[in-house]
Amino acid sequence: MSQHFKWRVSPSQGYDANRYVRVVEQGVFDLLNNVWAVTLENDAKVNAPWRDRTGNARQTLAGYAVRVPQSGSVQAVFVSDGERLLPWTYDPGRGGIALILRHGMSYGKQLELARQGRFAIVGPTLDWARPQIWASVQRMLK
Amino acid sequence: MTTKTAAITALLAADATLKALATGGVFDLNALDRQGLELEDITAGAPLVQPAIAVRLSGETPYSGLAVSAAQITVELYFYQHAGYATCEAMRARCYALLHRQRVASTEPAGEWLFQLQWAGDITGQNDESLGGASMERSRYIGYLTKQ
Repeated sequence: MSQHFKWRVSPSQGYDANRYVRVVEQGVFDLLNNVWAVTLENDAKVNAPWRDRTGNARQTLAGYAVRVPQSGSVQAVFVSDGERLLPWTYDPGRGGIALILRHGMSYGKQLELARQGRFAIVGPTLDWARPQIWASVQRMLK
Repeated sequence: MTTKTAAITALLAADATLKALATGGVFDLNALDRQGLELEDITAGAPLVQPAIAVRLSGETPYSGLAVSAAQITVELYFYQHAGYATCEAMRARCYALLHRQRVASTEPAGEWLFQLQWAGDITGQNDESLGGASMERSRYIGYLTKQ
């Protein structure tokens, strides 16, 4: 008696790992860009500790997510030192997604660093959000 | 009673290598007034900025990934010197050796247990205009602690 083996679905159609990766990446990108980037930008604008003179520094705070190509890097005015969410920013050899919160004015760096960070907003906002962002990514992937 | 920044400041100030480098002193920013570190604090009457370190606890946020009632703290170290960055780099490297993957015990507030500090990045080659354009670098350390 012969044993027959028959594919019910072509192996190439049964499990498309590349498609799965693309869907996961798109989901993470949407979560970071549509939820967290907006949250970070709004929180930074509301909580920026300086007293406005022109309002430019507050208005030009911006949050967004970008895809980092395999051999590319991210250009941003002030990217916080990443812990787990932004390793790709520092390693041009790997692609990924970067969530950026940045100043838009040239003196943004002074606001972050001068007087031992007394007027910093980007760094503290990312510090506050980082565990929550990571937890939300993990929840989405469960 | 020792706060977290006071404990870190004491650890750095007690190190002989760092003491020889940071001749302007090691400052706990939580113990300074609201203006923070000012030029007269690190010039000590001399025209030049003396190499100095400022320790700051910049954030303490709930952390759900480790345990219930856990928090993530961010400690920032600011390094200053009058010009150039050689001493800043040396101080930064020594602080890394003293703090990275080390536990620094504090007693205030009570009921907190800091597991260890981990280096979380440096910003190098900057100048602080509020301190007369002194050379400045910054190190960040992240730690996880449980709270009662």
